[in-house]
This record gives sequence, structure tokens and C-alpha cells, in this order.
Amino acid sequence: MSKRPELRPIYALLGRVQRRERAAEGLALTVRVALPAGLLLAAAAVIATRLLMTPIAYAYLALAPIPLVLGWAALRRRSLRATARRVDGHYRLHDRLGNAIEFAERPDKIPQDDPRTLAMAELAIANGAKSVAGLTPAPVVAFELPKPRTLDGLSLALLLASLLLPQREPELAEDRLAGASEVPELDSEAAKHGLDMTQAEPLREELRELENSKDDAIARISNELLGVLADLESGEVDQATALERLEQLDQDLQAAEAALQEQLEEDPWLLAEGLRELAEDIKDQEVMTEVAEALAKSDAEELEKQLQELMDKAEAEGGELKKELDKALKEMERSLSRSANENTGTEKAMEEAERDLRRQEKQKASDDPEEQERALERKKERLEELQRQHEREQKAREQLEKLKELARQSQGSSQAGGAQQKRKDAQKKLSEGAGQASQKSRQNKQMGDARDAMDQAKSFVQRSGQSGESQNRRKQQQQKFAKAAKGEKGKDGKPATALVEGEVGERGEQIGMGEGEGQGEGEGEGEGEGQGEGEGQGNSAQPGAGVGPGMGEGSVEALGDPNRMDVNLKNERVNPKSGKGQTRAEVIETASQEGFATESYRRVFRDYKSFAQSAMDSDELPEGQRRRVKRYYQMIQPRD
Amino acid sequence: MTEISAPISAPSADTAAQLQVLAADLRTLVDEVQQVVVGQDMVIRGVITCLLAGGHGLLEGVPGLGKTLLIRTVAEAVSMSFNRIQFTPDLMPADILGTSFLVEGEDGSVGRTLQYQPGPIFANIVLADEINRATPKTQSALLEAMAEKQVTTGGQTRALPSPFFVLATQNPLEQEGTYPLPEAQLDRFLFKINVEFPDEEELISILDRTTGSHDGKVRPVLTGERLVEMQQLVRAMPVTPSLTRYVVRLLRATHPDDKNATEGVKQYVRFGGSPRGAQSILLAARVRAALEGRESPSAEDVRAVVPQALRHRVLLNFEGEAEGVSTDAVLEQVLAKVKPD
Repeated sequence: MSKRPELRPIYALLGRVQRRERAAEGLALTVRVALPAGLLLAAAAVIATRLLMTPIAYAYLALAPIPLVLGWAALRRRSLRATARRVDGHYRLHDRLGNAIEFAERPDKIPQDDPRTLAMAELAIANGAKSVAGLTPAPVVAFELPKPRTLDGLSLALLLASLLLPQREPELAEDRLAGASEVPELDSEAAKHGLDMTQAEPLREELRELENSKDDAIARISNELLGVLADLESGEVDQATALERLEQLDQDLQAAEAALQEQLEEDPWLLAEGLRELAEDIKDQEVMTEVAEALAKSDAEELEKQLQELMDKAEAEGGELKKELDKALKEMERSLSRSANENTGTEKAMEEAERDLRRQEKQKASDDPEEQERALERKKERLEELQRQHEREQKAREQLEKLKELARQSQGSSQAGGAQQKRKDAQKKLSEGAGQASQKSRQNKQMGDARDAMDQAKSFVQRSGQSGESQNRRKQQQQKFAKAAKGEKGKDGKPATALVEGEVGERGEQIGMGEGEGQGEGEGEGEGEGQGEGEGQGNSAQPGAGVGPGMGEGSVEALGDPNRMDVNLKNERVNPKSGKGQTRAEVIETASQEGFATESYRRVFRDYKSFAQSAMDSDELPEGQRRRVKRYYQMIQPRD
Repeated sequence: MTEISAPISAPSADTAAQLQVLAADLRTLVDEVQQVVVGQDMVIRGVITCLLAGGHGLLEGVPGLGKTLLIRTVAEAVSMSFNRIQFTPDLMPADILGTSFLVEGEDGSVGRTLQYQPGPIFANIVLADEINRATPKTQSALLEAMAEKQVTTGGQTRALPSPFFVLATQNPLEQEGTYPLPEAQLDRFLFKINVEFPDEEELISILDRTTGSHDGKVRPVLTGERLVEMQQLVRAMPVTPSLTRYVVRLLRATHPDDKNATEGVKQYVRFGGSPRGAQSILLAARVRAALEGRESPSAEDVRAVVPQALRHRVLLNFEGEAEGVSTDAVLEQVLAKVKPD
């Protein structure tokens, strides 16, 4: 739109005012915005230089806000009408300038109804043009430096504070090189194997000890186990190969275990327990301190040597030493006697098993002859097992009795030729016998340790690269175990399953947990769930009810639902045992005497151990705790 | 009607001259009124603005501030018919609008006829004194008169004399026995003018004038016809588009849901100003410019008349009433926030 000539002074004035406005705004923004922003940027640059050793050139960024705000002030669009209003306001012109240019630029907006309207608009334009004379932009837009604010002070203070920061010393080139060579090496090792061999260190310690075993098989297997771990660590073999080798070694170990069982006529646990108690009993005897230590360590050679030397020395010196030795040998005699006569409960269990078998044999054939046959077979196996155990315990007792007798014969101070010679022979036999017993105990212990080490090594290798797989397997086993533990309802004439029964782990056989006898007759359908614990005899409404008093899950309404048509009720007479029954204390006492060596406990133990093993396969269990769990399961394992 | 002694000036053909004459006449009118009424410049200007804009005025102030005197003085100065109606609770609409009564025929042959007797509403300037003392029914009788400048009684509509102004007063203190004006009626007032208590100097002048021998006579300086001419000249005054837009934005900003609404409006206002409010602002701004001899109004004129034009149109909500918020304070916030282009 062309500008009317009479209004040019107005436009010129407004142009000058706008330029002055831009300059004033530039100044204000520089002080208000660019200055504090620049100070903050400078402070950040100084801090970065001092602490992170960035180039000092970054400090020039502090100047960046200045051109930015100046550019903004120069380029920002300004309304001519607003500028005119500002001038009008300053000179109290009642919008004369603004109205003049607005009427001149927008004549179409002036109503045409009354000719006086147009005349007044023209008059406004003329008055505007006249009013501009003598007006200057300077008073309208004053250049004023804004007063400092708190933000400015804070920004300056931050910059000054940053200047006080000490300069960090640059890292030496050698350090960088050393650091650079170490870190990637660790990274590459970790990336290569994904193994943290520090976790396997306790296992390797144990294997190193077993490597020095006198038993060749244990030493060889331990050595090879160490070799597998070393190869895995160095990357020579992968996980699959390592597991293959471990499986091979496991078979060797099983063979060694079987050979040891064949070789040991005596019950190693009874023998080991007797020697352990012997060590405890004689350790207070001063002369026997070293012997007790060797006995506690199951160091057969050292035991034999120390005991022989002690007895030879006592024979040679006589006097107090001989008296003390005799005293210690008497204590040894008492301790061995006590251990030899210790009741393990096997005999009682065997008698009980014999009674059970006879009862089973006398029992009439039930509806299910196969089941009857299976029950009979189980009881026979149980009896045979207990008989074998009893024989081995007898051997162990004989061994302990023999040592006791030798300890008794080794005492005395008679210097008569025959008596002295007889005593020396007894002493020699005692030393040798103790050594042999200790050796057998040690073999058994080391075989157990080797088995532990094997399990641990397998677990470690599996965990090394299959944490996800092991987690899955663990979950599956947990689900399997939980399902089996819950049991099943009795239905369709089938008995309810025991609490822990059925397929757990790899077994497909369903076996009741409890022990005892059950007899079932009649018809009916049991429904519902229930748990009961106890022992006794009785008739169950379940046809073909399985074996097992004790914990079981069966029907609350054993005769079925009386409201249903398909129920055929039949009254049965039950002859319960009278009396208070077995107390909790008696149960514990029996268990402590008989141990947990029943067949069903063995199965329970295997199931639980399997579950515990899967739990131990997870990385969540610390190594120390893993060993503790292992030890716990060793302690409660069935004694057979 | 009082006879005009001497018109101070005649309208000129030249627009600029007309504007100058208008300003001079208005100054004369103000001076004449101030012969009787001491101080109250803003109130006098407000009442004169109502006259020139052709609108009605509502004066609110405590008793004894000269509201009635001011209106009567203005009426006398413009030399137009004037009626005062004292509103009371028992005042009936017929008392204002007039009533019909039976008239016997002169010769007895025609019989009796109904004859309409006009009420006091039939005057150029009507002073509705203490308007809020009448019942709503009576107050409503003024609605048609104020909006349409006509009255309807007995099925017959009658035009009121032109120009027609209602200048009402009300007392803000006495609430008992009063009936607040309905919003529809309030909206018909161009201005609501608050009459403030005079300051010390003004009070001294009041005492001097009213307790001495001063007669306080008012000389008529304008006729009704001249007033109509002046109204037409004011309405012919051009307004820039930016100013019209400014008025619209100001009015919209008094509505709580408008984007330019201030926090005070959002919190305390129930309803903002009506379109009549915007008309009142623009008309009043023109009158203000005319009073100062200018040919078009400015943003400053708009800002000056906004409180009087909108204070009775912006309705506070319960929270605003309970907190004692004044409408003027809310409008000040609006004026501070909304700027012209």
C-alpha cells in the first residue's frame, strides 16, 4: 500500500523509533539474558576444563548468547501500529499518529453512511500529520541499563567459584597404556568364557586335597576333575565337552564307590563314628594329643606311626609316661567298648521287618494278587537290606571289639619276658588295627568328598553357560515335585496317592511314602481331600487301598457321599489299638536309634536331594551356602 | 418547558467546526451544571456521556451526595421536560406508565369513554429516585420504556418523547426493603456511575453555597433538538478497526472461559459483559473524545469508560460476593492484561 505523502514524517518517525527500540531491546537482552547465560556457560566451561580437562576453547561459548539476543532484537517483527501507540502514549497525543496511519491505510474500514465520518477521518489524518512536527524518538525510547538481579550475582559467584577449583592432574601416558592393556584383557577373557573361576576356587581347593589321597582312584579322578576345570578356564574345551568328560569321570567314580563298598566288610559309618568318638575321648590325655589329632584327621599312617612311637617310648622309659599311656589306653578301651556296643537300631528294624514279612506272607491274597506280590517283594528286599546292614555293623563292632581288646592287652607294666613280648605284640597290632580302621574311615570319607566334588563340578559347569536352562529345569522340577507332593484324590475305586508319591525326578514308579499295612474292602467312591498322620491298622473303605499309614491323602468321607445313588454302604468293624500311642519323644528316640535308613526315607531323601540340587544349580545361592546345603544333605543321608 | 435565553453557538457546516462547537457546548453545559453541583466532575461527565450517547444512567451513592440534585440540574440545563418518580415499595406500574379512567360524555349522548392519563414516564428526562425500593413488578414497567422508548398500556403502545433518558439513583447501604435490579434491567443502563464522597475542598464549597445567599439557579444551555444533533455527530465519529477489536477483546476477557480472561475473572466472575456492554464502551469512548474536541476516540478513551460501562454488567459469582471482591478491581485486572494492537 502506498503511503500518503503527508504521513511520511509519521512513518519516518516511527522507523526511527523502531530502530531505537531494537537497540534498546538488544541492550536490555544483553544485560538481562546474555550476561547471566554467558556467566553460567563460562562457569560450566571452567568446571569442565578443571575436572574433565576439556579444551579451554569451550569457554568461548560464553559469548554465544550475545549475538543470539542481538539477532533476536534486530530481526523480531515489530508492529508499526504498536510503535505509533507508544509514541502517542508518550506525547499524550490520544492515538493521533496511530489513528492517522490506520485511517490512511484502511479507508475501506471507514463507514460511508455519514459524510461527516469520512470528513472526520480525513481530519484525523491531517491532525496526525500536523502532530508529528517536533517529535523525536529519543524521549520515547530511553536507553537504560537494567538493574542487576540476584540471578546475575549468582551467575558471577558461580563463575568465581569455578575458577577456584583445582586443575586435575593429567594421567600419565604409561598409566593409560597399562590401564588400556589390562581392561580389554579382562573383558576379552570374560567375553570368551563367560566364566568366573573365582567361584570354583573352593572346589578346586578341595580337589587339590583329594588329589593327594592315598586312594589311587580318588586321586586320579580328582586330578582329572582339576584338569577339566583348567581346560574350561583356558578355553581349550567348551562346556559340552567338559560335561562329557565329567560324565565319564562320574562313571569312574561310581565304579570306585562300588569297589569300595565291596572291599569294606565293615560298616564304614559305624567304624568312622567309633574312631571319631575315640579321638574325642582321648584328646584330653596329654600323651595321646598327637594320636588324637591324627585320628581326627583320619590320617591312618600318621596315627599308626604316632601310636607305635608313643608305646615304644613308654615301654622304653617306663615310669610316669607308661602310667599315663596306660591311663589313656584304658580310656581308649572304654571308648571303643562303648562304640562297639552302640545300638544303631538296625537289629530292631530287622526284627520288625521280619515280622512285617511274616504278616504279609500270612495275609490272605487280596483282590489284587499282583499288588500283594509286589508288597511281599518289597518287604523281602527291605529285610535283606537290613540283614546286610546288620552284618556289616557286626563286622564293624567286631573290629572295634578287637581294638578294645588290643588296647586292654597293651596296658600293664609287667617286665616278665613273655608278658612284655605279648604286650608289645598287642601294641603293634593295636597300632596297625587303628591305622587300618582309620584308613577305611578315610577312604569312605574321601569317597564321599569326591562324590561331592563331582556334583559340584557338574553344577558349576552347567551353571557356567546355562543359567537360563538351569532355571527352566529347576522350575520344571519344582512343578513336578509340587504336583507329586500334592497327591491325587481317590477316585473310581483307586486309592488316593500319598503326600509324596509318584513320579519325581526320573522315576516312573509310584511308591507310597509310609510304611505299614492297609486293607481295603467294600465298594464306594471316595471324594474329597484330607491329610492324616499316624500309625495303626485298620480297614479302609478304599478298595485296594495302597500301602501306607503315616502321611496320606484320602477321602474325608471314606464311604463316599451318602446322598448319592451310586453309594453302596457297608459297615465295617475296626479294632483299634488301645493305649496312648507313640509319643513324639518316642518317635524321635526311635529315629535316632534306627536312623533314617528305611527304604522309603531313602527315596524321599533322593527326591529332596534332587530338588535341592536343582536349587543349588541356580546362581542365586552363594557358594558358601551351597557347600553348607551339601553338608546338610551329607549329614541326613540314609545310612546303609 | 423553560425558554432558551441564548444559544451559545450554532452548528457549523464544517465538520471540524462542528466538533469544536460540540466541545464548546459540552464545556458550557458542564460549567453550568457545576454552578450548582460542587465537584463530582466524573459524575457530571458520566451523566452528560449518557445524554450524548442516548443511554440511561444509574447513579449509586450514599444519601446526601447530591445525586438527585445533579440530575435535576442537568435536566434544567438542557431545557427538556423532566419528571421525578420517587420509587417506593407500594409504587405500581400504572403510577409510572399512566392509567385509563372513565370520562362522561359532554352531552350525555355518547356515553362514557376510557381516557388515558399519561404517567410521569412521559418526559425527556425521568429521574427514577431510589429505583431499587420499588418491587420487581414496578421496576419491570421501565424495561420497555428504557429499551424501546415506548410504553404499552391497555393494549395500546405509545411512544415516549425524544430524546428520552432514565437517570436512576440507588443507595448501596440500605439493603433491607430493597429489591436489587434484575440483570435485564441493569443491562439497559449505559453507565453505572458511582458517586463518591466529596473531598475536603469540595465539602467547603458545598457548605459555602448551600448555607449562604447563593441562589443556585441554572441557565438552560441546550435544547433537546441540539442534543439530538450532538448525538448524531458523536455517532458519526470514525473508529479505527484496531480500537474496535480492542473493545471486543476487552469485553470477551470479562468472560471466565475466554483465553484472555485474567485469574480474577476466572475465579470470581459468573457472567461477563453483554454485547450491549461493548456498544456502551464504544459510544462512551466517542463521547469522551468529543468532549475533548477530538475527531476519533483513542485506546485511552476506551480504558477510561470501561469501569462505568461494565461494572453493572459483569456478574460476580458466589465466591466473589463472599470475598467482597469489587467488580472494578476485576476490570482493572482485565485492563492491565488486555492491550490494544
